[in-house]
Amino acid sequence: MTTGPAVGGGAFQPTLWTVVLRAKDPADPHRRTALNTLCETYWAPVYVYLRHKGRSSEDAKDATQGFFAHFLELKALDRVERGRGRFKNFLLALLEHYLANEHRKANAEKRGGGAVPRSLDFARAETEVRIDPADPRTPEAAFRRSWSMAVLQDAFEKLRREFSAREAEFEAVRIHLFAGAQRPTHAAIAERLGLPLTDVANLLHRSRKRLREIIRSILREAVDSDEDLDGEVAEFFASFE
Amino acid sequence: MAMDSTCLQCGKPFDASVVANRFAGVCPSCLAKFAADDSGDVQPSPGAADPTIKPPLKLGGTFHGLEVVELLGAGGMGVVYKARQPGLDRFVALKILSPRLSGDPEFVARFNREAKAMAALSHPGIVHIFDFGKEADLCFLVMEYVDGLSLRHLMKDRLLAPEQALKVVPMICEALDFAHSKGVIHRDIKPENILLDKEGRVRIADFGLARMVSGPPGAPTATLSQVVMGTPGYMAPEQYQGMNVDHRADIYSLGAVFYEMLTGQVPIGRFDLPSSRVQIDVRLDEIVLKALATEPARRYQRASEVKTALETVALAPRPLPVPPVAAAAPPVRVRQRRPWLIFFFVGLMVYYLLRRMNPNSFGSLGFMEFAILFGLFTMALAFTWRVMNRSPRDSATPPSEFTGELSGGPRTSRLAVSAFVWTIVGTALIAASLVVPAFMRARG
Repeated sequence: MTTGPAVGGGAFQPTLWTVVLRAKDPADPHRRTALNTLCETYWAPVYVYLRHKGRSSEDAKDATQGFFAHFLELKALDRVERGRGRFKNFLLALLEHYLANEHRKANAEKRGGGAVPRSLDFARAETEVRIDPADPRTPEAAFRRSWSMAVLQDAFEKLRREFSAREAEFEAVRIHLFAGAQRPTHAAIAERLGLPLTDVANLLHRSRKRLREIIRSILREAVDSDEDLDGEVAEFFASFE
Repeated sequence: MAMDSTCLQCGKPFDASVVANRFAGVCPSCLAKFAADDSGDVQPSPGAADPTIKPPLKLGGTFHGLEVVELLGAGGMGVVYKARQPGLDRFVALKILSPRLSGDPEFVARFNREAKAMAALSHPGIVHIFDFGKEADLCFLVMEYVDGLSLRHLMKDRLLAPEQALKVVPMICEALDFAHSKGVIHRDIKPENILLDKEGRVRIADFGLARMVSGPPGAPTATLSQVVMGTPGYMAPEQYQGMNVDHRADIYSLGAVFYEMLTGQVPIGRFDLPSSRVQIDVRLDEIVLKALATEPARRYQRASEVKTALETVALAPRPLPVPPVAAAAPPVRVRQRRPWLIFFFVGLMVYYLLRRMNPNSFGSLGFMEFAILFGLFTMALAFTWRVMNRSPRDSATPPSEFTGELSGGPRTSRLAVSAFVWTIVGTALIAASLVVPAFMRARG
């Protein structure tokens, strides 16, 4: 359904720090693909940040491309070590660093040697990323919010893939949370899907639990320690309040 | 640039195209809350659709010169009353839209524009709009009052017979075709919106209301007029993917309603062919499937084509295929029960006859033990009989795939094996109960 950043497609599903640390290991055959995938999944926060910095759409697109090309050159990853903190802060710091240096570099085109991620889907950027000029949020706050959105989308995609064999389960969640409708009763969902009523409650309960696990596992990959995780999880959910 | 809509579940604004494209129509805030919430799945009670919508009018009061008589229903968009128009002495349906919507100036502008288009639709199959406007900060529509029931009500009580579906669908087609020819798309065709009056005539309600809520027609921000606003299960794929929607989305929804009328199920995910669930002309399968094609280009291009196709089927009736077992439930039940009774009574008769002839022929076995063993035996035999007579398309088998492939095989053979085993066990027990005491007697 979503034609956008399809992640991996199969058993190989990279996450955040794993990907970055892996990318430093030249022996890992997946390192390039994994990084590419990561960029495709998490480009939106970078773009949103740049737009909130007051850049035009075109300019922000170019800079996002440039940043990810730089990211993929791997030089940026040289200093990445264990004890690395939160991934989103790392990405933001890297981005700020990149922007500070950007104007000094004459030839943006040369960077990356054509290794720009396959599909940072900018065709959808303007329709998918809501930029309100009057939005009082700072670029950093906008970045974090967009980051949470990207994590949520990633988690939702993973859930969808896990449920690909059991369509009813995913459909139940979809109908339950459908944005343009009143919350349907379990009975209504059961009727629509042709399932016993008890199954619907179970399906939703299971999906809820699983989605939370997936989100936690993604966020676990984005932080240093278990202590950090709780803060990150709280911050994640708070950004949807 | 995308614009906001409001999630009707949590009331938070969302970027509708994000929701459509990346979250399959799910509101991200609701999704995050869903994942965060440990308190279990709270579900609304069926009566209270939306706690924020309090019935805005008092029964017995007046509104816009109408006497409010009765609350007919409440939904996501507002509340519907039955009201009396004193001058003309007729009943009308008065729809009061949600105060939340009425407070949004953009919505009100859209409402005025769309209501005008809706009022221009004059067709016997479409609920007529008499009047609309804004009074006491509430947007309202005055509509024709249809004395009848919605398809949802009819289906809830029992399945509509296929013949009735075949009468209803062409009428829906006519009304849809008329609206489409005027450039109006319904966008939310579902059983709740299809009313049948006392004469059995179809009236489609809420034309264009979905569009009113979701966005301006033909505005430069095309993303919004394409935005999801419909009902999952009846919505065309392109609609919930937030892609460009035209009148063919209504044809998909029509197919979904037709499917549900025939089978009692909504066609979601993989679904059975209608003829595998009910006894109908297999040519109807083709019509339903074509209306439900994922690609709009593969569907019927006009609602009138669906009607023509149905008429072709009606004009040249073919003998119905051998009824699938599931459809012919009552006769099958009789056939399934008969062996139990036959075996049991024949067994009892044989037992009494033998006992009368030679009371010692069963050794020391008591009546109860024998009855239990015999019962076991008859059950096993009956079970085998039932399995052998069972069609692979029995309702007990998991639904076969859309492709029509039979999936009953493994289950049926498993049942046959277990029946066989029980028969052997039962027979062995009975044999033992007869032989062992005789053997003991012979030794003693």
